[in-house]
Amino acid sequence: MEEISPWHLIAELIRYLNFESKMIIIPQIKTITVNQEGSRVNIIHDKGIIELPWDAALEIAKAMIIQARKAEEIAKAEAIAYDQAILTRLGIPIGLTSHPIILKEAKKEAAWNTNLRRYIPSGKAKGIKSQSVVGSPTLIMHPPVKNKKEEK
Amino acid sequence: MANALYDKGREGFLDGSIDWDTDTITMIGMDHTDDTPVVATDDNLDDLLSAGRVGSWTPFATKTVTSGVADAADITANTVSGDQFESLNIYKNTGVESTSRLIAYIDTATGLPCTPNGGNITVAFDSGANKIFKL
Repeated sequence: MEEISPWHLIAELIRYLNFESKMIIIPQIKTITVNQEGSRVNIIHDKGIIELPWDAALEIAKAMIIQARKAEEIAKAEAIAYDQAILTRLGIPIGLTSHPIILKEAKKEAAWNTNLRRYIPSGKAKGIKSQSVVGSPTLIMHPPVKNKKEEK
Repeated sequence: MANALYDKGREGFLDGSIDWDTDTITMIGMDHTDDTPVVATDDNLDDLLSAGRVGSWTPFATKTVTSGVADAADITANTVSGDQFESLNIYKNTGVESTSRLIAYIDTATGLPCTPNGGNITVAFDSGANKIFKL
């Protein structure tokens, strides 16, 4: 069997997945089976088999998890923004996302959402305080200098 | 109250009107019997009643800004006299009180409140992680 580099396989898989994602629009049910054979991982679909070395399969899995989480963040953006708005309005310094658009929306919601303003009124809404810290210095007093006339 | 940055001082760092390591930064003591500083609203030196100001410290030298931590060499005010003061107030000195932006308010320090005895008063800044202040 011809030896294929892992990166070629990754490119192949991405091309395949892209193709699949386009196919989702068409009402067809496609199944993908993933199994293991010796030190290799097989992805079996109706157009053939993609055979991956175990380490390439792990790399692809990691990349897919990262991208899937990013996609999930976008899919659930509204809920994340609302939850972040609650935390912001209560003054709890915990960030649920670092996505700038979701954060901007959360800030807007924290300030203007009718329900949040009703149930977390301004008295309870603390906002997130600045994390700046001022140090505590030491004052050292020196005795006054006596002039020569006083000394005499 | 506790040691804090003036809100307008914070704003000054963000809008670029305060440059810690190049501007002239100095400090005064404040007698709270005459005027108690308000960190949320006081913006420039003219908001601190002149009758309550005590001491005249030399401008900060050897200022550093590493990692958002403001530091400088210890400073001394010579022959300080006047009323007891309860706080130290750091500000940017432009030479004009109405544009000299207040930066930090310190009322928690070893030696405060302080009653001047006519001698020099040295302020040794915090040598911990936060130095003078951390943004």
